[in-house]
Amino acid sequence: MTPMSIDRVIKSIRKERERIWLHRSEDIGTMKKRIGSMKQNFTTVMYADTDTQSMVKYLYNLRETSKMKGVHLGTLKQAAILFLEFDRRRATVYYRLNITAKLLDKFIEALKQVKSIKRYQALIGELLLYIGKINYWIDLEIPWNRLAKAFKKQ
Amino acid sequence: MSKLLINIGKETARADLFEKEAPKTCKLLKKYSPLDGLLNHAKICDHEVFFQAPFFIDEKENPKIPIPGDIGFWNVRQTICIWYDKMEPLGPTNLFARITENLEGFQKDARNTWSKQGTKIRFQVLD
Repeated sequence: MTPMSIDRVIKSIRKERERIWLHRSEDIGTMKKRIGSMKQNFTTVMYADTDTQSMVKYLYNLRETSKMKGVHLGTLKQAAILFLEFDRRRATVYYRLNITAKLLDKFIEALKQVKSIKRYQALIGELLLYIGKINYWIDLEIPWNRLAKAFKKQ
Repeated sequence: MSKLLINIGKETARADLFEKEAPKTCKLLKKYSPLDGLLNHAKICDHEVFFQAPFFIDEKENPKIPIPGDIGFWNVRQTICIWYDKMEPLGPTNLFARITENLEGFQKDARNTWSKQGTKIRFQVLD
């Protein structure tokens, strides 16, 4: 696969985020069809919610760390790649977040090309906004009120 | 002082923008106005609803503990938070507006978000 330029990757992530701003991503439909343990999809959705929430937190912290004086770009890149390759696999195999997984592929290839902290921040920032949106879409699928009531009865 | 027109479900509320205390946030809000979103309800802190904004605000602006009616920006999630009744906030948040008209109406639709998430919201800055 020929890696896309950093700018093209940023643009493609932004375009997808704008597309799903008010319209549910197709990823949510495919995720809900992914059957988890004991023939149910509840845990798929709950774990996808937790995982994407964790992604938001570490992407934010990587972006914050990159603003600190004297940080090493290579280490920041390697940390991001390690985290994201793991979550890309979970997104693909466990959650069927297919569009997201493809964007993560492009993102990781683009990240390898990054040569400045400024570009790193731009790239991480764009992914952070996108994953934040996906996480909020997943959260909207969870019937929190009914779950809380059922749990209280236990 | 600029006003913020807020449409939530079938209700309309108005807020005062804290342009002096949070100039960068208010400027960005004007740039993106009208800003549409879908509301999620807070799970732990109680009476709070929120929606994502498509921008970052890296600077601390007017970080304060919110009271009911306050509107703030949480940069960790690029999220606009609206505290609509009693709650226990995590800590000071960048406050940029406060609901001054029809908080009661806002509360009604915000509370419904707990059982039916995804209520549409629109923020429109009025000069």
